[in-house]
Amino acid sequence: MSALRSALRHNGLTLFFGVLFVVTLVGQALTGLAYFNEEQRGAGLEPVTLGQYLTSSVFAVDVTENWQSEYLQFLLFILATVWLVQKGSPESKKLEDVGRESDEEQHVAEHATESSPAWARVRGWRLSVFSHSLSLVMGGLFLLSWLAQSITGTTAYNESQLRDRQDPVTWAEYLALPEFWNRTFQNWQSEFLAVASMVVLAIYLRERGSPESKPVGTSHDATGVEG
Amino acid sequence: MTATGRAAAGALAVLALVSACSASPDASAAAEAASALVEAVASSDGAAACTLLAPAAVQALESEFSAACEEAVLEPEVADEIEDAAGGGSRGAQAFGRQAQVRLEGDTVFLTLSGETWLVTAAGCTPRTDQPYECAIEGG
Repeated sequence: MSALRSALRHNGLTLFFGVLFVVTLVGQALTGLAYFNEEQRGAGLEPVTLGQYLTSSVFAVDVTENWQSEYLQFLLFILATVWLVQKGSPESKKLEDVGRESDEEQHVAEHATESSPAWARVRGWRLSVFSHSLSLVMGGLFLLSWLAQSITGTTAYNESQLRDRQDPVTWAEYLALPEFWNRTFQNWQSEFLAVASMVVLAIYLRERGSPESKPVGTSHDATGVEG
Repeated sequence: MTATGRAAAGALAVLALVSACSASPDASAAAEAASALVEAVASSDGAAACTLLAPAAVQALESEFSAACEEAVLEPEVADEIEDAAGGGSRGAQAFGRQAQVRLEGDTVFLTLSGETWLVTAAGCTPRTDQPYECAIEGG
């Protein structure tokens, strides 16, 4: 029992957001179904079941357009913070640490410690891949989600076109339509606003105990300090 | 979220994509339904034609001609637009989600899924530039 409690405590952050993800995805599915069926009935068409809605492109495009923008946000944040800094922000590294940093600072190859991951200990392709693995996975998930958005978006758009007695389009044609880019940009802009707000607000504001904030008494000028 | 969590989310994205693709409806069944409607109208079988129409299309026909669907669907201004396509065969059918479009020789037909069955929402349709098709039967 104490082992379970310990596992829950050690993984609380992941579990909390994992549960929130599932609950809100269910909420999106149920409200999306209600909205879709409202439109179906309005057009004199048959409502669909939850199972049919969950496997529809209409649901898939609404999900994936949000996912791709989240992965893009984290990908750009991870990469931009290597080279760009913000004085006073705990989201930024120290002003003098700009760049990839030395092997010693990164604890790789001959500077690795006993607890360093295996791929960080020896020079070669494994170290190169592992040194960028976070960006590679985030970038891959972004591209995959964006591709999924474009494919399911084409089907959802065409379903709407046919309902309105208009011709469907190909995937390539859909990529050039305002519909695709509007869905994309409306998600991107909100992500970038959120990151910029976090970087700037965290210079002057605090949340005691949060590693996303500087310690309450730390000066506004202190950069790269987390609570 | 951890890398594991993100990998799981990525796997879900793939699942969503796969499920969306696997749910692709059968366009050839839609083509068969469209051809059956044309043949029924061409052979003046109004009752058979009406069983292939979506409820909203039946309602629209009955309201426009103030007659039962079986008679309304054989009115010259409807039947003439549709029976031209008889015997011409399908030039292509596409289905997306719960909607389909079938191009016949001289006609375009729009359909919707009702359960597992395709029903016609619009027939006798001609394209218009930058506007929806103009259809002899239109509802739903």
